[in-house]
Formats: sequence, structure tokens, C-alpha cells
Amino acid sequence: MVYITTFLGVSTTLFLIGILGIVLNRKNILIILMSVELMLLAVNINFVVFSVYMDDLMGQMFALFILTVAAAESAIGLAILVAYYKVRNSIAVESIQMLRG
Amino acid sequence: MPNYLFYIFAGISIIAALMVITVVNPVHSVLFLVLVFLSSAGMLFVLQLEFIPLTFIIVYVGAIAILFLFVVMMLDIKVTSKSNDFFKYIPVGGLVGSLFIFEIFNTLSKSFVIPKSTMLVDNFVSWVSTVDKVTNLEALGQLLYTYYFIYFLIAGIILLVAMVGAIVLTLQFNKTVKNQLIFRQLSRSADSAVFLARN
Repeated sequence: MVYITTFLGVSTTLFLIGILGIVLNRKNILIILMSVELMLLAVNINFVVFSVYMDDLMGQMFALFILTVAAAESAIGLAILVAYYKVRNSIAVESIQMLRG
Repeated sequence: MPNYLFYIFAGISIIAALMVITVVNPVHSVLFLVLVFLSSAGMLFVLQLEFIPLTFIIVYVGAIAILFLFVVMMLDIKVTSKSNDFFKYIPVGGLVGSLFIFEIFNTLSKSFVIPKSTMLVDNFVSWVSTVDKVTNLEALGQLLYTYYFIYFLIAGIILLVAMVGAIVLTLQFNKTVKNQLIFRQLSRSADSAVFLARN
């Protein structure tokens, strides 16, 4: 027996790990992008589990759209990362505030 | 048996997610991210879904993680030493995070205590297979291509915009290299190219 609370607990834990990755990691942006992916994955799991729980396909469709947005977001984020690396020759988070004007 | 599989996958995914944010080398971090995606897809397979976990594997592992791997290997990032910041932010972050997770689990354990129907794996009625003999993928397609086709098209446009944006952001024209501009060659005629030099 797998209860819905176990599933939701696992997805919430994944989401919190993603938030912790954003908050605690101050070194490179790549880990932050990965944390965003983790959070989107947790949200997706939540949608799919509720879709099974409620016998409604809307959640799975919404998971597909979130998947689309996650792919687009990671593509754009990594492109920005590459462009930033060309300018600064490093991807440290601390020096981003110098990128003004 | 699916019970044990679920707990195995859940444990693997949580441990691998913790490794993603704590491991020093970004390449290892991306590989642990792949492990998180795979094990969470397995977690959804336990729910007897087919299409969504397979799409997770294809898109997350095949597209996003490979994109991350490309960028990690292309950018030549130095292995960053673990800074003091990590331990500087752990007390506040751990306090807020543990408060939040306690609150969430408290709410979860109070909100879903209906005895039988909350059991997802062994006890849910698959109405799709009893009422109408269509599979998960067919049902999703029937919904996606008829009633919600406009969102499907919008998703495609989002992907197109992301592709164009990524190309625009990373493409750079090198001014020092002589390029062949075909449209300029084709639009060149004798009238505009041959003229008398007057002194």
C-alpha cells in the first residue's frame, strides 16, 4: 500500500532540497539551475499523483506542459550562462552584481 | 512488491537529490540529477502510469540533463572548493527548512486520512480500463488533441521561442572572418558593380 501522503511527502522533500540548493549554494549558477529543475520535478510528481488520486487526466496534461516549460527554461538559462561565461570567464555567483549597464 | 519498489525509488531519489546540491564536482552533480530523474520516473511507474514517466525519462534525462552535461563540459569550470558560505547559511536555512517540512508533513498527515481510497497502488479503481477500454496514452491523446489542442500549440510555440532565444543569445558573428554572403552575390548585377573611376 502506498498512500498519497507518502508520495506527497517525497515530492515535498524534493522541492525543499531544491530550495536548499538555491539558498545554500553560492558558488556557481549551474547548481542553481539544477535546483530549479529539481523543484519543477517535484511539482510535476505532485500533479501526476493528484491526477491518479482524483481519477482526472488534467493533472497529467498539466505535467506535460510543465515539462515543456522546464525544457524551455533550462535551454534559456544555459544559453544565458554560456553568454555570461564568454563575458566574465567564470560563472561565480558573487561577481554577477558587477554585470551592470 | 510495488510497495518495496516505491520505497527504494523514493529513497534513491531523495539521497541523490541531496547529493546534487552537496557534491563538489558539477559533472557528478549532473549525473546525480539524472539519477533523481530516473528514480522519480520509477516512482511514478509504481502508480501504473506509462506515458508520463517515460516522457520524464526522455525529456529530463535525454534533453535537459544532456544539455547540462554539454554546458558543464564546454565551459571548463574549475572544481570549486566548498566555501564557508555553505556552513554559514546552514543554521538559518536548516531551521526554516525543517520548520517548513514539519508543517507540510503535519498538514499532509491530517489532510488525507480517508482509509481506503487513499491507497494509490493496490486499491485505486482504474476507471479508464473498466469503463472505456483505452490505455493511459490513448486517453491522454484524446484529451490533448481535441479539447486542449490550443494549449498543445502554445507549448510548441514556447519551445520554438526558447530555441530561437537560445540561438540568439549564444550566436556571435565574427567580424574578422570573411564570409560568403550569397544574397549579396545574387543581387549584384553589372550595372551596380561596374562603374568608371573618375578622377
